[in-house]
Amino acid sequence: MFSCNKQEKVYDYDISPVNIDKVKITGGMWAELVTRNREKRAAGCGIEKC
Amino acid sequence: MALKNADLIYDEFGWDKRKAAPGHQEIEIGLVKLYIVTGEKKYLDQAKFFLDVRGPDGEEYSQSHMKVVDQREAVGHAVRAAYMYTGIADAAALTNDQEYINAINHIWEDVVHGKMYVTGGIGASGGNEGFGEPYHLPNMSAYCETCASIANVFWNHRMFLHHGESKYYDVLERTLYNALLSGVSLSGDRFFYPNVLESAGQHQRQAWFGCACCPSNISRFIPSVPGYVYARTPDEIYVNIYLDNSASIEKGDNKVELVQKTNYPWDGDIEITVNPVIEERFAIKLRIPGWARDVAIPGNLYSFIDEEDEDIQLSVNGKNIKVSDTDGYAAIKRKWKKGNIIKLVLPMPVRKLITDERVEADRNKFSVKRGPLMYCAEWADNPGEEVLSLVFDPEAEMKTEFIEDKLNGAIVIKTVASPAKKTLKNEVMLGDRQEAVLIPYHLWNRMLWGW
Repeated sequence: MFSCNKQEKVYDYDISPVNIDKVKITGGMWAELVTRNREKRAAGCGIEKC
Repeated sequence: MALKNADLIYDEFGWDKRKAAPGHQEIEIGLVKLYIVTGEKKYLDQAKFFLDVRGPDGEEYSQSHMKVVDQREAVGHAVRAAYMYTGIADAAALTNDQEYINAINHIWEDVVHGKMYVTGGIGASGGNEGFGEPYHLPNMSAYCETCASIANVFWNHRMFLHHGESKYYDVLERTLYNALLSGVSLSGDRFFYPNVLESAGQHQRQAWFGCACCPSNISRFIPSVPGYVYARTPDEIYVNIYLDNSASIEKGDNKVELVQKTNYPWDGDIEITVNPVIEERFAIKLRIPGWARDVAIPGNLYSFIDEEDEDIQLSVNGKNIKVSDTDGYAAIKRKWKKGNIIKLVLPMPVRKLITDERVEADRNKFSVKRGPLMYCAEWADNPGEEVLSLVFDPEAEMKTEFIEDKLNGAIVIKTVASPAKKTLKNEVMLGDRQEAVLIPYHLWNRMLWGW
């Protein structure tokens, strides 16, 4: 089995993005936004009627 | 499950099978990823088939009015379009097909020169949820679907990966912080489908929609933001988005830790500590955003009406470096050692922009931005008068203030404006100037549904 998040190479361009699991947001507005969205997704998203 | 479904599609559709294109493009992106993950070339071939089978006898709405390699203008449904341009970019990266790249280069120019809002939103018309004619960018009826903003980020990310120019990240960042982020409330559970730029109160974020693509799409997208921060080649590391983070970047046999400290987008002070496991010579390319280089946004739709007089500052280990950018990046090439510190200061004065006069809805108007954020006025912060009747003076001073106890902590802009009223003779009269508050655009519409 494979996991896209663990896949080092997701694209095949001359320039490669640094994959999401290699970057940890540590503060600021995005920390809260990302954490909140991850929590909602982990809890079955938490959105009404979803 | 992905393989089972992809195989079914492969068995059903092809040049010698059912010659049909999907009505709503997106599968192309997934098929390319599936090819990279599995190594099975049939998935790449299937993605190419779905691109190449489009046109010339279809309709503009779904971008099947001509062969994709012949397309030069952004038309039709904006989400379908931008997903397709993303898929074309992905396929081009693997096939080195210059015709694909030519097509999306032309289409990108078409968008930034005539079909993009100052918020980075795309798709002006509600009727087709898509692109209108060039310069047709109404504000109150702007569509700017949240999903189109996400697709615009996908597409511009790929354009950067192809070309290595920061102008694509300028569009990506403008979209990310404005048209896209407006799509979700601070509480994370109310959503905009269209993201208008002007409202008389008829627009409210909703918990759900009959066609509920945007809520789940933005909930999926936001956690993926860390994946847009850095990029690399064998001898370069790109820093594309500034936000507080630590990253571990593999470079051949080496590994480089970058620790970024910043309060961006509220200020432009950025400190990056570089910790390579092995001392090594390579380039760190810092994106110098267009807005910090006097480029309001790529294309000629928007321009500044004021001047920037503060300089960008850059130093390594306390030693100043002259900022000269190539393709929008300040490249620092040196032998990096553990504990080396880069400091970048991007001045963030309040700036005012005007729109190309061919955009009828923006004539005699100016917009206000600070750093990557567009600002707006809302009744909640400007009680007593109809906000749409306030007349702002572009010459008036605009002061910034950090508000800690509202908006989850944000910089607001304080200035003055005059309420306008019409007399019985239909003459416009301006009242006394009063204090006016502008907030980041993505934070508007927070009062009725809470935070």
